[in-house]
Amino acid sequence: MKAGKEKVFSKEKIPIIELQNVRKTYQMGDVKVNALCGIDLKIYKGEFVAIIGHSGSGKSTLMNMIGSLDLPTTGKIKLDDIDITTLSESELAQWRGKKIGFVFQSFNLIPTLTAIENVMLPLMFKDITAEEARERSKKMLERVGMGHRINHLPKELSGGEQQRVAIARALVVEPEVILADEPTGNIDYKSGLEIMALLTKLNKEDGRTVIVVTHERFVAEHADRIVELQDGKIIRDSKNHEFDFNNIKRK
Amino acid sequence: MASFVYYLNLALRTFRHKPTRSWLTVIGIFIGITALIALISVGQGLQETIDKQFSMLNPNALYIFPGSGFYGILAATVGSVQMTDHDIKVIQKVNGIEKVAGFAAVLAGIESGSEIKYAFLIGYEPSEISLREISSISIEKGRELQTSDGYKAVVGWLYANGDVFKKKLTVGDEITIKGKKFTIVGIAERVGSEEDDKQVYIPLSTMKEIYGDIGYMTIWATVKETYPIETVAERVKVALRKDRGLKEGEEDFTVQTPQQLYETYGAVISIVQIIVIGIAAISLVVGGIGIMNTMYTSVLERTREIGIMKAVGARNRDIMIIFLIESGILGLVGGALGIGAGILISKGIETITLQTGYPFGASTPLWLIIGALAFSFIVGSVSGLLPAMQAARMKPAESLRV
Repeated sequence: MKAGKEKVFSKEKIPIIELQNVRKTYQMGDVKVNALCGIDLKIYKGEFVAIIGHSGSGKSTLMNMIGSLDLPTTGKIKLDDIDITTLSESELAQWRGKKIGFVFQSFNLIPTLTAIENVMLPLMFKDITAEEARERSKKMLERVGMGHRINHLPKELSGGEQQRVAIARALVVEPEVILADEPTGNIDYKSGLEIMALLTKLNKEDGRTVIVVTHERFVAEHADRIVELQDGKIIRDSKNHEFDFNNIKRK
Repeated sequence: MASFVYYLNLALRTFRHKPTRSWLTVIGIFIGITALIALISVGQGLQETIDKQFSMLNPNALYIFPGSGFYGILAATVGSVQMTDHDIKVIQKVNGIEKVAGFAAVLAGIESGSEIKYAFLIGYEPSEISLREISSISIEKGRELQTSDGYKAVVGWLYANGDVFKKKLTVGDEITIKGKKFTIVGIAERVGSEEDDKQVYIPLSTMKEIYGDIGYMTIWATVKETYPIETVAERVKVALRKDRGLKEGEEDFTVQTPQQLYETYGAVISIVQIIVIGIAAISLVVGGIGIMNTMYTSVLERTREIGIMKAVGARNRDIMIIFLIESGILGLVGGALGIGAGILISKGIETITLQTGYPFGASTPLWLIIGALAFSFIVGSVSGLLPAMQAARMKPAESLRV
């Protein structure tokens, strides 16, 4: 397994994301909950990784760590070779805004903004004029097949369409990594397949690094590499064709 | 840095998506600014009117009237205290005084045909002083009173142009006062106030024949050129005090220069303005608290939105600015509407006042409008400061979990 990993993943010397012995402890009243218990993970440029596991396995916490939305209690996280645990809140926000595009289960579009305004949002916190932001956002919406509905509010769009807008928003800053948290969780199977096809296209054609957190098998099957999490630890990390889906650990 | 237009759009969404709450929030600031604009506009107009009236007065004239302080002046107004011929003689001897004249006033029944109307009858000596000198009133038609005029009268503008009597009076017509017939020789120009425009002027000697010696309501004295008016006014005060055997501070009369008179009016207006601005300020504070409350609610409601913005690269500062602009806009909208309503109200007051005959125009200067807009925006922003800080401090991971 170790030898195989090196053969497949050592094309790029420096990982785009590197977690070193990451631990996260939450204080819930008097009880300490160890959400992550020493995670070591390297993700390289151009990979398509699925992180799977049951609820409570630490998936969401891991996603927050990878996405730099939250910082670990102990351990180091490097994003594009920068140790984000040393950054200030504002530096972190800017670094995150440049390097990572988020896609959420519940889309997380701002309900009072139109599709194009939602896509423009990340650009608004950068040195870009509103005209340029609008132009880029429009192109991005066309790429994800939403060019015909740019002025609709989220509530006027179907779940699949909303997720496409969310993907356009993630892509508009040209991020190194697309981080998708249960991207198909709130949409029907057919739309879910379309979303996964879109993410696959972004990975294969544009060479973008895609990380998907999911508990759905058909989603994980799109990935090249699968990382399984249980009780805050990585229990399996292998290439897709070597992964035995029938052997996913049950609680 | 995001463009201001985009932030503005973010802020203005609230009005589109939460209209009821937004408008209710705006009311507090709206009322405060309305009151502020209306009252300052009226005050400003009043000041301008007074400035205009005083600019017509002879700057070298002193006005000496009976009574001192508020109650004294009240007593003088109801006629229980008067200045006398003896006072005129005393004032005449003061170094620096050029000319002295008294004028008497009494409320009299003015008759024309079978009608009788009550108005102030003013008596002055045409050989000593003219109507123009006393109160800057010119004659519109006919002439001023002359020395030899016995039972002749100059009447106010309203007798000739208003509806004091059924028949409009003109030069040559007769009016009857206390059974004596007077021929009208002149019509005064319009002053603007009903009271002034209904006055009737007759020679002082004739007035004394009818009413006896009723004393003077006011003594009017001019100061020789090159003499400082304040010094002469003080000398008049000392002379009258000595004549009456009074100590300083016990005066039962008042000597005023046009400047002092002007300042007295100005002080009254200032006090009234300070009080009303205080009341308006309370309304603005309450309005500000309303905005703060709304913004706290808004921050809680939009926790997830804040999380999203932070996930896509918004710094704490960006979040704070967005919320500050939003609360500032709430203030600004209230302010803008308040300015409109305030101007309307002050114009309404102007219309009503003009109908009662007083020459008054409300005035809303540009600085007041710009100042009120800036102020309402600042009130809004300051009120939004604490909620905006709360929003800015939210942790992205936690905000997204909501």
